[in-house]
Amino acid sequence: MKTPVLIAIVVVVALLAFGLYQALVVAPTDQLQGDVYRIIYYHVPSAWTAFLLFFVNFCASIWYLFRRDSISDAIAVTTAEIGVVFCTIVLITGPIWARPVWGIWWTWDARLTSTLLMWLIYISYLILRRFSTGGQTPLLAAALAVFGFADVPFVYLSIRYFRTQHPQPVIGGGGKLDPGMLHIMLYNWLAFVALAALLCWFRYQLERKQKDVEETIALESLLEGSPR
Amino acid sequence: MNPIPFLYAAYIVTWVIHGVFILTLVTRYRKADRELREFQKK
Repeated sequence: MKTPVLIAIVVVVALLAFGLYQALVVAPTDQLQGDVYRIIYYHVPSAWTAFLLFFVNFCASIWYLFRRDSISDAIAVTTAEIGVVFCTIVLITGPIWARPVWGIWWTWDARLTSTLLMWLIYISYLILRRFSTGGQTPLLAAALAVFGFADVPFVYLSIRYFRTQHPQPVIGGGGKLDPGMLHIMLYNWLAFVALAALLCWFRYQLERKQKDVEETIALESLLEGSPR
Repeated sequence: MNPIPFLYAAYIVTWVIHGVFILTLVTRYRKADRELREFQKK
């Protein structure tokens, strides 16, 4: 492994470790919820990181629709996959937090349902990428990603326009958060974005490697004169 | 209800998901790398 990559790994691990320390030790205890509220330091930054990755996927998909270049296609699949990982964390940590605070694991309100729908849209995107073998797959996936992204702003705005069990947003909304808590949450988001960037870099390298394998197989088939 | 196990569960689940994902990335990369080297040998 090259030295810049090793340095990046060390920096990301240090950022995450310091974020974890701040979340579990430094952050003050909430008067109403007690210590369980500290789930916010992983739940909300994971959601923001997923939104960011889906936005990059949306931009890369639009770019692909106009330019049809392999780099934007690789960026699209990379960000969709990492975005699904962060969205999965949101969907699991949310109910774990809801159970002691709301008394229920899940409710079919606008925020929770639209988040689940967003996850399903990007899961279907990845299934399409994985199992469709035609040459039109990147084009179809890009179209799905562009239409699928319409759910992302809906997820964010759902708690403003619908009466939901979910609290209001802590930034740009009616939710109130102590400045000390907000500072730690923003720091953890920075650490999660750094982790997402590192994961994207590794996933992008994998995508390039897989493309090389596909091209080599195609070249070999041509040389043998018998397409597979 | 003691809420502390829920707090730890959320943090552990987060890192388990990231760990499993990193493991799948490494496995897929090694598989692609091995396939590419086998083709290049031919």
